[in-house]
Amino acid sequence: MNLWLRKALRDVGRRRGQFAAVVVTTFLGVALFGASFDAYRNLLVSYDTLFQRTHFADLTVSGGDLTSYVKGARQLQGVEAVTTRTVIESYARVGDHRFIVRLVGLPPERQPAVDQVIVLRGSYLDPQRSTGVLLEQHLADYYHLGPGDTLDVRTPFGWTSLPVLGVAASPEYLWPARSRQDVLTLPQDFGVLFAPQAPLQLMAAGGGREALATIAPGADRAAVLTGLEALARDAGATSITTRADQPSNAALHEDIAGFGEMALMFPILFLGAAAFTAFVIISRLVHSQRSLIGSLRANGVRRRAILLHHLALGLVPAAVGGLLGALAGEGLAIVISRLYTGALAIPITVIHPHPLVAATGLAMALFTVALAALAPALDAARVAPAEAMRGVQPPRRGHASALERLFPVFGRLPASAKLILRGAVRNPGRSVTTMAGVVLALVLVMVSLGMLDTTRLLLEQQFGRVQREDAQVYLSGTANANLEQRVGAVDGVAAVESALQTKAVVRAGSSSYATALTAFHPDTSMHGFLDAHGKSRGLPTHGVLLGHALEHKLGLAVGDPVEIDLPALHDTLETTVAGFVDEPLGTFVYASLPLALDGRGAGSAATTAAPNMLFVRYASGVERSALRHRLEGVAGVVAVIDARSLKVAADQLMGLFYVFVGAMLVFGAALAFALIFSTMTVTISERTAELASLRAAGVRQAQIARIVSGENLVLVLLGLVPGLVIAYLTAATFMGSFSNDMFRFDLHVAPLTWVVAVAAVVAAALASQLPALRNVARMDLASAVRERGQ
Amino acid sequence: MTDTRVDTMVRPQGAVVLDGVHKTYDRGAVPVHALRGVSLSLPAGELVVVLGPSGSGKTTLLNVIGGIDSPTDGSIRVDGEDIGRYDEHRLTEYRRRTVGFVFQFFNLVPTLTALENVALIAELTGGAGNARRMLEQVGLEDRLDHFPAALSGGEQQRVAVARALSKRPRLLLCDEPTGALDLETGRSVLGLLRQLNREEGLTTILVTHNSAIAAMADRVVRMRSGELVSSEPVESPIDADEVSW
Repeated sequence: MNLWLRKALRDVGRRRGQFAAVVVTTFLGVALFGASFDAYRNLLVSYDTLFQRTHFADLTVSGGDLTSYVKGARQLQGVEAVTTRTVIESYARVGDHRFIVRLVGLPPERQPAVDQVIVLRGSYLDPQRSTGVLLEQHLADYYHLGPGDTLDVRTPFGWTSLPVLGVAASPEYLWPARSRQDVLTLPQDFGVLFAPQAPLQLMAAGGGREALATIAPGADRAAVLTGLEALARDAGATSITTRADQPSNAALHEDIAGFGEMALMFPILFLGAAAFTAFVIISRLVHSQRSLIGSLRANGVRRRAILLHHLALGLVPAAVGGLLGALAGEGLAIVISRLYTGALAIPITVIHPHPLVAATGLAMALFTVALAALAPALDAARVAPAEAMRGVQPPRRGHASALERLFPVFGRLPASAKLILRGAVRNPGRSVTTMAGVVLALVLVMVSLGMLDTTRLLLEQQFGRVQREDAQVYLSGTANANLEQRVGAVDGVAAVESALQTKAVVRAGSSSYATALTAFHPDTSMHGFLDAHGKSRGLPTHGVLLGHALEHKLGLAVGDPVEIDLPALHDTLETTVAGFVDEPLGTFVYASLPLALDGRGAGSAATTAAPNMLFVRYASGVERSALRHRLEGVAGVVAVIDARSLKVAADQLMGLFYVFVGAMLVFGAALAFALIFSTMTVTISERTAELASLRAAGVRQAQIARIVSGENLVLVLLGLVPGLVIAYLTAATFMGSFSNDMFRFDLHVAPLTWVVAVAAVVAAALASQLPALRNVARMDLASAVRERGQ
Repeated sequence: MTDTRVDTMVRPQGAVVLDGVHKTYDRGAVPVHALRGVSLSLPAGELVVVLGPSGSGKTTLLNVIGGIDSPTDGSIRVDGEDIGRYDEHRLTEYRRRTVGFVFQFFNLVPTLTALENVALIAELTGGAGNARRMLEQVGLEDRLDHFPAALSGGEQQRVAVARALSKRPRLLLCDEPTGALDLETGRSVLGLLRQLNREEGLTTILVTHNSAIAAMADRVVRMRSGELVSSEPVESPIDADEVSW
C-alpha cells in the first residue's frame, strides 16, 4: 500500500470519532439532498406523465361568448385540441349524509380530446346508460363506493339515484380542491363525479359551460397561451385559468415545492457542518504534525505531495459519506415518491434513478470539504523545514477577552472565570465552528418548529377568528325570513344568518381575479374581518373588502374603484375598495348584503338575486352530527356542511406533522453534536499538558469538567444570538415562499418554541462534550504532563 | 554504596519512604518494568537530585511519589501516609494538599497572566498562598500581568515554581526543570529552587539526566534500568551559580 495512504488511514483511525463526524454530516447532507431532489423530480415527472396521458388542459375558459372563443382557438396555430363541456354543482347524498358534488360532463362514447380520466375500477361511461356516472376516486374511496353502487344526486327532478359505472382519477382533481379559494376541502363535504355531457347540459339549462384547450407538443407554449388568453378576453370570458393556476395543480405544486426547498436547505446545513468539522480537524492535525512535516520537507518531499495528502484527509471521509449518502438518497427518494403518490392516490408514479443527482450530491460534498481542507493543507505545505524540525511551536499570544477589555469590571473575576472566558475564544477558527454548529442547528430546528407554530396559528385564526359559523346551510331556493326562523328553531341552533355566496370575478383595469363573493348582514357575527395587523374590523356599508393578495395582484388600494362580475347572477357590482382583509385561507370578496343586493351597477336590470344560504352557529355542547341531520330535515334545506370538519381533520393530521418536526429536531441536534464534538475533542487534545498539569496540582476532575463545559457554554451562548436571528429569518423566508392567494403562511413562532429550540441545541452541545470530558478523566497524567503545551 | 534501609519513623514536612516499590506497564506483549523493587528513604527538607539515563525509571519514581501514577507493588509513605494504595480520588486530594509540580515545558495556561496562573491553582485547590507574594518571592514582581508568550523561558519556569508553591506543599517535585533552558537561565532557576528549599524547609526532588546538577544537591539518588543504584548524601553541596554544563 502507498505509504501516504497508509499514513492517512492511520491518521484517520487515530481520530475515528472526529472523522466520523465528517462522514456522518456529509452522509446526511448528500442523502437528504438526493432524497428531496429526486423525490421532487419523480413527482414532477409523475404529474407530467399523467397530464400527458390525460391531455390535461393548458387553458380552461368559462363565461362570455364561448362559441366565438372556441372557433378562434381552433384556428390558432399551435393549439392541439379544443373541447367544451358542462360543469355544475349540486348536492349528493350517501345514506343520510349530504354534501356538495360537482358534476363534470364527459362524452359517453369515448374519452374527450382534453381532460381525460383514468378509469381505475369498473368501466368508462356507456352511451347505452345515460344516467351512469364515474366517481372521482377520493369520493369513491371515502364512501366506499364502486361499480354497481348508486349515488343520490339532487337534480331538477329531486333526489335521483345514479348508477356508478366506474371510479376514475382526473388530472383536475388529484388534489380534490373545490376552487382556488377552497383548496382544503374534505371528501365528506365535496366530491366530483363525471356524468354524460348531454343530460348534464340539459340540467344546467345552458349554464356551466367551459372550453378546454391543449397546446401541441413542440409549439411555443408561451406564445400560444398568450394568444388563447387574448381570444378569451376578447370573447368576454369571466374565468381564464391556466394549467399552473388550476386549483389542484397549484396546490400540488405548492406542496412538492417544499421538497425543492429542502433539497437546497439540507446540503447547505449539513455539508456546511462537514466543511467546518473538516477544517477544524485537519488544522489541528497539521499543527500537531509540524515537526513531522518539516522532517519530510527537509528530506525533499515536495510541497505538492504534502498539500495533496492533507487535502485527501478531508476528501476521503467526505467521499465515504458522500457515496453512502448518494446511495441512501436514491433509496429514500423511491420510498418518499411512493409514499407521497400513495397518500395522495396519484395513479401514476414514475420513478427514475437519477445518477446525475447522486453524482451532484457527491460532487457538492467533495467540493465543500475540499474547500474547507484547502486552508490547513496549504498551511501544511508552507511549513518551513528548519523551524518545524526544531519543534518550535508558533507562540500562542494570550490576551484579555473582549468582554474584559470593554468592561474592566470583568477584570476582577476570579482566575477560573477568566480562564473560561478567554479559553472560549483562544482559537478563533474553532470558536466560529462551534458557533456555526449552533447556528446551523437552530436553523433546522426553527424552520420545522416554525412551520408547526405557523400552521397551528393558521388553523386557530381561520376557525377561531375568521370563520365563526359552525355550519353552512345550502338551500333548494333562496333564504327568506320564514326559512331563517324555521332553521333557528331547530334544537341546538344558537344563531342563524342569511347570506349570499356566489362566484365573482374582480376586475381592475385589464387585470382580473376569479374568486367568490360572500355578502353578510352588516353586523354579522358569523365572520371576522381581520386587517393586516390582525385587528378586527367591521363590514363596511359602502364598498367591499378584498383579500389581501388582491392588493398586489390587481394593484388596488383603498378607495380605488373596482368592478365585480357575478356570472351566476348575470350582473356586475360597481363599487370601491373599502379595505383589505388578511385571512389564512383563500382570497375572497366580502360585502354587506344590502350593497350586494341593491348596490349593483347602474346598468343592472332587476334580478331575483337574494340570499342563497344560511350560516348557523351551534349551541355549545351540542352533538354536531345529530344537529346536522335535524337541519337537513328542515324543508328547503338541501345540504349542511360542517364548517369545523376541516379543523378536526387538520388536527388529526398534525400527528404526522409532529413526526416530521421530531425528525428535524433530531437532525438539528445531530448537527450541533457533530460540530461541537469535533471542536471540543480537538481543543482538549491541544490542551492535554495544560489540563494534566492542573490535575497533577490536585485540581479535581469535576472542576476541570466545569471549566471545559463553561468554555463550551460561552460559545454556545455566543452562537445563540446570531443563530436565533438567522434561524428566524430563514424560517420566515421558507414559510413566505409558500404564501400566495391560496394560503397565507406568515411565520409565527410561539414563545415556547424559542425555549425548545435553545434547549435542544444546548442539550446537544452539552452532550457532545461528554466524550471529550471522558478523555480528560481517563488521561494518563504521567505522560500527558510531559507533552509540549500548545 | 546503596542505602536500602527502610526508615519507619514518620518525619514532618515531606519525608518520603519507599519500600519495595515496583511499577510495571503493560505495553502489548512485553511488560515494561519501570521500577524494580525500589526501597529508598528521603529525609524531610532535603534537596534531592535523581539521576539516570533515559529509561532508568527516574521519572516514574517522581510520578509515583507525586501521586500521578500508582505503584504495581510496594509502599510509598509520605510523612507516614501510605499513598501507594490510594484510589484516584484520594490521590487527587493527596496532590492537592501535599505536592507541587514543576515540569520541563512549564505547562502554564497561555491565556492567563503570570499572576492569574498562580491564582488559578490557589483558587481551585483552596491553597492559602497569596499569588502576588509567591511571584515576588520568585523575583517576578515586575511581570505579574504578562502572559506566558511574553515571558522568557526562565521567567515561565519561575511562574511554574510560584504556581507550585501557591498551595504550600510539603513536596516540590521537578521533572527536568532546566531541560528547556540555557545555562544561565537554568542556573537561576536552580538557584531559586535551592533558595526555596533552604528558606521553606521544603523537600525538593529534582529529576534530571544532567549529572552536573547533582553537585548542588543534599542527596543524589542514582537509577538504572528501574533499579536504585545508590542514594548518597552530598557532603558539600555547591551553589547553583557554580553549576556548569
